[in-house]
Amino acid sequence: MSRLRSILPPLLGLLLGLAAGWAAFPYLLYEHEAQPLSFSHAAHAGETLGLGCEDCHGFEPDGTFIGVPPIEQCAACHEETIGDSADEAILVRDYVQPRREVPWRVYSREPDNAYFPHVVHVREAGIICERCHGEHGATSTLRPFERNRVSGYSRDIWGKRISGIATVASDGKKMSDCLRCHATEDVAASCQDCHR
Amino acid sequence: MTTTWTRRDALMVMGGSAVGLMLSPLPWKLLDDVAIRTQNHPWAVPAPRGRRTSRLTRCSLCPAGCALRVRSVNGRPFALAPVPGDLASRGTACALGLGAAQLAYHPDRLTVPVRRLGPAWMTARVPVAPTGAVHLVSGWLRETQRAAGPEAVAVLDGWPGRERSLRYRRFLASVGGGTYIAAPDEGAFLARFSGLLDPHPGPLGADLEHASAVLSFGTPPLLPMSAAERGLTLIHAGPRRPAQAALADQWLPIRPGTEATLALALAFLLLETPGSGMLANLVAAEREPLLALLARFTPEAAAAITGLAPAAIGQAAMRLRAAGPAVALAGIDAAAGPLAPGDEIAIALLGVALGSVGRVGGILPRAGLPGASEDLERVAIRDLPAVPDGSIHLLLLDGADPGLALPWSLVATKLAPGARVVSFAPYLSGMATRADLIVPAPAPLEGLAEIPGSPVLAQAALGVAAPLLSPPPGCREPGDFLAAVAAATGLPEIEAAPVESRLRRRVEAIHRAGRGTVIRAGGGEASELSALSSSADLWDLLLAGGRWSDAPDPPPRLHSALRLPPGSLALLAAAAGGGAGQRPARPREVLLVPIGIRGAVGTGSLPPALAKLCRESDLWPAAGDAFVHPDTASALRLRDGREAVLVTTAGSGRARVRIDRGAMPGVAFVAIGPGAAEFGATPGAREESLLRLCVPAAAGSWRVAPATLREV
Repeated sequence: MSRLRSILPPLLGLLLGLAAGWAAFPYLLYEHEAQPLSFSHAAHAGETLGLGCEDCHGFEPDGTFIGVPPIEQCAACHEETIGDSADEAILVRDYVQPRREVPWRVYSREPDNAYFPHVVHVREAGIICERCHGEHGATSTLRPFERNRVSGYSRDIWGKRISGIATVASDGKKMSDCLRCHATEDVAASCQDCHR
Repeated sequence: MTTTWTRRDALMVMGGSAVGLMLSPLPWKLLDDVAIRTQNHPWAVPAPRGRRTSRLTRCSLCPAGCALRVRSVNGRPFALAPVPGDLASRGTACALGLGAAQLAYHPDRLTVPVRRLGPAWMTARVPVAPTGAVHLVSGWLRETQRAAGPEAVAVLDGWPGRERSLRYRRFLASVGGGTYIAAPDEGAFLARFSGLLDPHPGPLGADLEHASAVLSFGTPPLLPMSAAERGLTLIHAGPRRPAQAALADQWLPIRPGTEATLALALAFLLLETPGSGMLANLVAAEREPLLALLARFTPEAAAAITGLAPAAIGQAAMRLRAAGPAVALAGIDAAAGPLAPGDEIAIALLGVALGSVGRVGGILPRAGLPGASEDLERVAIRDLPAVPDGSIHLLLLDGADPGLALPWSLVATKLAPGARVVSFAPYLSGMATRADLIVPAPAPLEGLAEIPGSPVLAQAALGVAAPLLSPPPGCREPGDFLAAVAAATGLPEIEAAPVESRLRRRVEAIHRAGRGTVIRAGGGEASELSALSSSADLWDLLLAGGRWSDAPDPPPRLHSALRLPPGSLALLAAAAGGGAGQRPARPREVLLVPIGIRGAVGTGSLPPALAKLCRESDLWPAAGDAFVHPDTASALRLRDGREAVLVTTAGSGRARVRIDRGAMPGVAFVAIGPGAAEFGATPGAREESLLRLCVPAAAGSWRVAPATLREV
C-alpha cells in the first residue's frame, strides 16, 4: 500500500504532463478562425455539377497556379442568388456584386520562403490533387482554419496530428514531407528548387 | 483511510509532469515554431495574397543587367528569379539582384526629403516638404554661385552614362559650367588609357566578345557569357582572388602594390619575341628611356619584387602570347578601388606590347549609345582626384549605388569649409549619411530605369527595367528635382520631360542607327535590330526584359600611338621599382588591404533577407574581419576570433582576427562591408568603416596601407 502511495504523485504528474502536452497544448497552440462563408466542395465537384479541381483551381497559360479562384469565376454562376441559404445571399451581396474577393483562409498556403510549383507536380508529374489535399474536394462544409499562434502557419502545414507523424499521405506539408515524397519517387531536389 | 499530501509529493508531481511534458510534442513543437517566428523580422513584408502574375525584366543594380522573372501578387513584386533562356545572363543573377524586391521596404528607406539638424556631426534629421527642399537647394546654389562661381557646384555621379547623367550635365551647364565628377568605375582604366594615346581616340572599350585571353589586374570585369563559353582564358593578378576570379585559368598571387612590376615584366618578355617591333611603331615618345626601363624588369628581377616565381611570369607571358587576341585590364576592386596611375600606365604599356590596341579582340574605340552624346562639351567629365581640394561649395550626390567603395575622406578633401551636400539616395545609408539634405530618388523597381552595359566593353548595350512599383509621393527623380531647382533659381530651363519620354527618344535614336542585335529575355536567338520595324517595337521588347547590343560593322579602326605624358616614366619607375606596397617596412607591421564584395561594401543597402542570411550563416566576411595567414598570426601573437587594434597613419580601429591559410603572409585583408547595419542592426546605428584607415593618395588610390595589428 505504501509502495503504491509512493508512486502515485509522480504517476499523477506524468499523466498531467502527458495530458498537457498531447491535449491541452494543441488546443492552446492553434487559434480557430471561421471561414467567411460556408462552401460545399461536394456540391460543386460532385455529380450535381461535375466540376473538376482544375475548373476552379487551375493554371494561367504560363503555368502560374491560380489557387483560390477570383470572384469573377464565382460570378459566372452566382451573379444572382441560387437557392435560399444565408451564405449564398452574403456571397452575392457582399462579394459578387461589388466584385470583392472573398477573404478565404487557405489551409495549404505554403510559407513565404517556399515556392511550390503546382504545375510541375500536377501537369508534369501527374500527381492527383488528393495526394496532398486528401478528400478536401468531397467536403460539404469548410472546417475552421487553424492558425498556429507562434509561427502563424496553417495547421495543415504541420499536419493534423500534433506529433507530426502522419498516418495518411496527405497529412502534413512540411519540408520533410516534400523530401520524403521526392525520395520515394526518386526525384532529385535541391534547396533552390523551393527556396528561391 | 486518509492521505496527507506533503511537499515531497508536490515535488514528485512536478517531476512527473516534467517527464510527461518531455514525452509529449510540446517542447519540440514549440522550439520549431519559435524558430520559425524568429525568422519573421519586422522588415519582412509578408507576401500579399491575391492574383499572381509574372513578367520579365532586367536587374538595374549594375551594368550586367541580368534578366529576371518577377513574380507579383496583385501587381506587387515579391520574388525575383533568374531566367535560364536569356542569352546575356544565361540564367544567372547575383544574390543582391535576387533580393531587390525587398529594397523598396528596407528599414533605411526614405520616403520624404529630410534635412539634417545642425552641424555635420549631428545625426538628427527632420522631414522637409518637397517644395521646401527645392527652395533650400536653390538658396544654396545662389549662395555658391555668388561666393565661389559656378565651378564650385558639383555633381558626383555614381553611374555615369545614363540619361540621368545627361540631365546632371545639363543642369551643370545651365549653372554656367559646374563640375561633373564621375565616380571611379570599371571604365576608369580605359579612360586613362585613351588619354595616353595620340591622337586622342575618344572612349575606348575592350572587345571581349572576340578576345581570346584577358589578364586582369584587380577584380576582372564582367565577362560576356558568350566569351566564357568560347573558352576565353582568364588570368588574374592580385594578392587575393576575388569571387569574380574564382574560375580564372591562372592566378598570379602578387604582393600588394606590385601590379606595375608584373605588367612591365610581362611587357619585357613579350617584346623579346618576334613581332615586338610593334612597340617601336606604337610608342610615339620617350621610346628609348622606356625600353631602358623595361630592360630592368627581367622575370627574375620582377619575381623578387612581386613574390612570384620567375617561371610563373614566363608561363603567363606564354599563355598570353599563344592565346591570340589578348587584353590586359586594370580592374577596380569593390573595396580597394582603382589602381594607382603608375600601375595603369604600366598595364597600358603591356596592352601595347600585347598588340591589343586597335585590334579585333583587343582595345577598340567605343561607339557609345546613339543619342547619348549631345553638345555637353561645356561640362567635361572629371575624375574625383583631378578636382582641386577645397573647391566644391555645393555637392550633389547621385543616389545610384555602384556597389564600389569610395572613402568619404577622398570626397571630403574636395569640399570647401561649410560646403553643403545634397544626396539623391533612396536610403539613409552610405554617403547619404553625410548629406545636409536628402531628396530620396525612387528605389529599384520603383522607377523606369535604364541599364547601359559595362563601360569596359567595346560594344555598347542597353536594357530597360520597367517600373513595377509606385514610388512614395515624397520621392523624386533627381533630374526632375534639379529642373525645379533651376526654375526656382532663374537658370536656363532644363528639359522637364518625364524619364520615359527621354528614354524613348534614346531608343528611337538606337533604332534609327539601325545597327546591333537584340535579344528577348524569354529566350531565342539574337536577331538583327533592323528586323524590328519601328522604335515602338524596340521599346516594347526592352520593357519586356530584352536587351540591345551594339555591333559596329566594320569594327572601328584605331590609328593612335602611345604618347606618355611628362613625368610618366618617373611614375612608372616608382610604381614598379619601389611602390607603395610590396612588403611591410618594419618587422611587426602588416600591409592592410581592404576587401569586400561588390554591392556590400557599405556604400548602399543590402536586401534585408540577404543581410539576415549573411549574419546567420557567416557566408560573407563582415566589416572589421581581418584575415591573416597563420604565420603572420603567429609572428604577431594573434588568435583566431580575438579582437585586435589596427593602426595606420590615418588612425586606429577595432578588427576581429580571422586566421586564413589563403591569406598572403604579411598582409591583413580587412573586410570593410557589409557592416552591422547591413546585417540588420538598428537602422542608422552605423559604425564607421575601417576604410577610413586606408589613406587615399593624391591620385585617388587607397589599395594598400602599412599598419600594425595588435591583439587587445
